[in-house]
Amino acid sequence: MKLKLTSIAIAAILCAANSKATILGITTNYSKLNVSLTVYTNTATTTNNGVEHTSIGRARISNKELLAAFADWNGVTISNKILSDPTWKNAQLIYDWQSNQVCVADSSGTNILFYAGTGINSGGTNGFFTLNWIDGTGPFSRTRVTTNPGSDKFTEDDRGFFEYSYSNSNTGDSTDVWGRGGKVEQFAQYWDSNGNFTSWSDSESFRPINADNTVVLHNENFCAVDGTISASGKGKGSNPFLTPDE
Amino acid sequence: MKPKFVFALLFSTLLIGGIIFFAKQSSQKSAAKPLSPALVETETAPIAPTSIVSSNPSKDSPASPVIPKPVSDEQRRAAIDAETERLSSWAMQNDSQSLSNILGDLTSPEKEIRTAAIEAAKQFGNAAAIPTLKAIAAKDNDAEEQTALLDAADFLSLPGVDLAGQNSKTSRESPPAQTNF
Repeated sequence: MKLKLTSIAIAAILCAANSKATILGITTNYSKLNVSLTVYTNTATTTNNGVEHTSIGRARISNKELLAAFADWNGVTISNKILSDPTWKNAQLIYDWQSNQVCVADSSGTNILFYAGTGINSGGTNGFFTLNWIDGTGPFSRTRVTTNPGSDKFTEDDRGFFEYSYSNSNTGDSTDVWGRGGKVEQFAQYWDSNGNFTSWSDSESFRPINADNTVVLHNENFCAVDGTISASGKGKGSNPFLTPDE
Repeated sequence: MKPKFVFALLFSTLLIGGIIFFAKQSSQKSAAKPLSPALVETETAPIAPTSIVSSNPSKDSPASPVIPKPVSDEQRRAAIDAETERLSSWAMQNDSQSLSNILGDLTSPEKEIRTAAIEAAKQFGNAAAIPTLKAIAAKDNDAEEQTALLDAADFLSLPGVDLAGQNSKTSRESPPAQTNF
């Protein structure tokens, strides 16, 4: 009897632990995302023998810093390197072409844990990470094989845009890092002898840059940012966002 | 007295033999452990130069016991994709073996893998990679790749921004919690 009760209790605890892991959506069309940004801020001014000196401090933002922030927004805590929500272990940043935004996915890449573009707005926390690959359209080179089977391959120069925004009305902390810059896209779409789309592949390479009084890091404005945001992926069928209509 | 002496002799011989045997075994095992990025590369790289860039495997050279198999474009593509996938997975870890694997791929014969390894090193976010990145850059003849390696080394020399809301004021330039996301 005691053993039975213990088993039931263990099962209930396991169920409760699993129920915490929330899969918000599923995608089959995504690219892995890599963010490598450098943020520039002014350091505190020092005075020595009447000479004032101010310099520029630099710090990096990569996938790990972003994932740590997104986990924090979602109430996922880290204690002794253990995540309170095991689903976030080996989580990764992806660009989901179905919802057309940056997401946090679990290790499989297809189960979405957080829609970073949509962001969060609750309990005083307001945050999002927007990434617009095509903020402005530029020239392209293209090769289309219009027969069946066939393919459509193009390389396009565009202007991209990104924004990481966070504010907390409880702490008064505010960050808004954003930038625009050149972006090169290499896309390929293939179809079979019946004209049905079979697969696509894509790579995006975006080099944002910005310096402005509205670039803010933890309430400090007049910051600057540069770096790279890149993504590469492939999928079956057509890409819901990139495959041309014609 | 005599049987006891013989038994003791046999026992000590067996003991010494056993010690020598185990010592040999352990030295072989430790030799097989990856000690440097270069060694890791040899062990972990799934596509050795000979298999991936198999230019013209001579079929009529019977003296050679191992003839490298020709690799099709599809196989080569699949091998590159698989290694790139592994690199992005290692990039999100925090253990020394993952870093070692990433650094090993910096000298891969495939440029695509080397490029992915540079990105993985940046994402891994450990300044321990800097000396290797600089050393490889010093020997690299590809100016674009050399720049990428040195940029990665510079990126890793920076502290990570604590973007998370909690403790942001006090530890904004401390690295993020070292957790396997």
